[in-house]
Amino acid sequence: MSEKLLAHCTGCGAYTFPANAYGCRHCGSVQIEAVALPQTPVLRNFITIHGDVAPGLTPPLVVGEVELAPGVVEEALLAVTDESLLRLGMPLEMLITEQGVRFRPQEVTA
Amino acid sequence: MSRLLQERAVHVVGIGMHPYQFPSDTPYVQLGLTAVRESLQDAGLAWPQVQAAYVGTAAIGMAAGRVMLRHLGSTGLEVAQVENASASGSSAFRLACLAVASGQHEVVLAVGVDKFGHGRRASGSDGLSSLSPTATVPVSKFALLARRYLRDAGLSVEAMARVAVKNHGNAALNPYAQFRKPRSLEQVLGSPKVAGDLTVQQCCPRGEGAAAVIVASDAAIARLGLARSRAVRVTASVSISERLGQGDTPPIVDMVRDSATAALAQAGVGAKELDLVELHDAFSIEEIIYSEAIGVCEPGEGAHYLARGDSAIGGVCAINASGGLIGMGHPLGPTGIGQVAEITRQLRGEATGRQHPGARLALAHMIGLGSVAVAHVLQRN
Repeated sequence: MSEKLLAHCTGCGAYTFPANAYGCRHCGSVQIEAVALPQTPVLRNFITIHGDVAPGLTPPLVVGEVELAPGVVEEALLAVTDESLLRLGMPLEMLITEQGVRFRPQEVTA
Repeated sequence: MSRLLQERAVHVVGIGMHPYQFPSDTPYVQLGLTAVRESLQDAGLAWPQVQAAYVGTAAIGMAAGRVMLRHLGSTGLEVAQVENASASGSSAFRLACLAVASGQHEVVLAVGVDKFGHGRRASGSDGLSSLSPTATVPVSKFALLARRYLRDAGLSVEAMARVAVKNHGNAALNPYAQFRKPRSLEQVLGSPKVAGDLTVQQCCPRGEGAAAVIVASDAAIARLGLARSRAVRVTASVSISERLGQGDTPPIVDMVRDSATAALAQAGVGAKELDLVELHDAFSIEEIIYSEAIGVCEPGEGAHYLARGDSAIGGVCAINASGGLIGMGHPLGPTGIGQVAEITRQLRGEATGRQHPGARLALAHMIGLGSVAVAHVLQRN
């Protein structure tokens, strides 16, 4: 997956996840183009998955609802070992790894 | 708004069940026929009098209907299979009601039957990527919803866990339920965690089973000499799907509110008049949120409504008197039809051991993956 995570509609201006969606989820237009995130991703909610709920996962792991663009919030894997470093509303950075996209708290710079 | 069910009366005249149970070697045909035969006997009908059958199933495979129904005799009736995820049975029931209301048929069977483990979801075949393998896993979605709701309302995990205590308690009184043991708050909270604050005992089990309901027109009841006193009228049928979120409310909550509001308006009744609600409590938090969205109680009051005993059998409005998906079970295809069977039993006053007194008006509300919602209003004649 490239850094262009979203599709942007040239008609109504709305964003759709993922970038290779088959049409704009708001207006249905096929005039959409892959774009990078228009904002810093923001953490809106998070939980720890304890059970064996999906193939290919080794619990415990932390998932969050990440705001990628205005009105676009997606469930995403968070690259943290537990919930202790997470705060609602915190800015995140996107990591593109061999296993896929991960999000983690932005590095604190002095 | 459709007036079809006001102009052309449709009645539930027969109900039958195969108990919900943990996955077994029992063939689905045997599960389904047990429920169908019980519904025929309950209605006082013979198989040749049934003109169509809608078969709700999500996981058995193509063409499950006649493979099962041919063992009841050779009548050449209409058979169609209905798949709508968890709402498969509810959608089969809706089609049965509309087939009678439209005048297409006079006596129609809706039967739900399923076995665990044969289902396959289309969401894995859409050619699109996700940001987490949990993105289409319901328990993760509802654990996130629970975390948000409890945080915003300032409620403890115990408030949510009480749903499971009530519903396991109701299921213990229901001979068709998969779980037959009452659970204490300590047991519910102490069971293994699955996702977020949801423990195993706050999640519906995997299982199998069958449920059957027969609907008939006024004319058929008269012509066939069926017991009108035991018939329950269907006064609303609504089916919608999820829209993009509007503001802060999760889209699934908007969908529950919109579908319930439309069904109650179609029936011409208010949410506060409901005596019974069967709803999709696949995960405990859903019952609290949906009781508010349906309007049984005010926004923000769901947990208090439960804690006061207002949603218990004998309370203001008995929610999931059957035990719900958490206690009775959720075998997919049967679930929505099992809701209608439970409501019919309650409205007839025949729910021995778990009868909600004075039950007159009820809502059956179901959600299917996707998401879709199906709502029916039923009333004692």
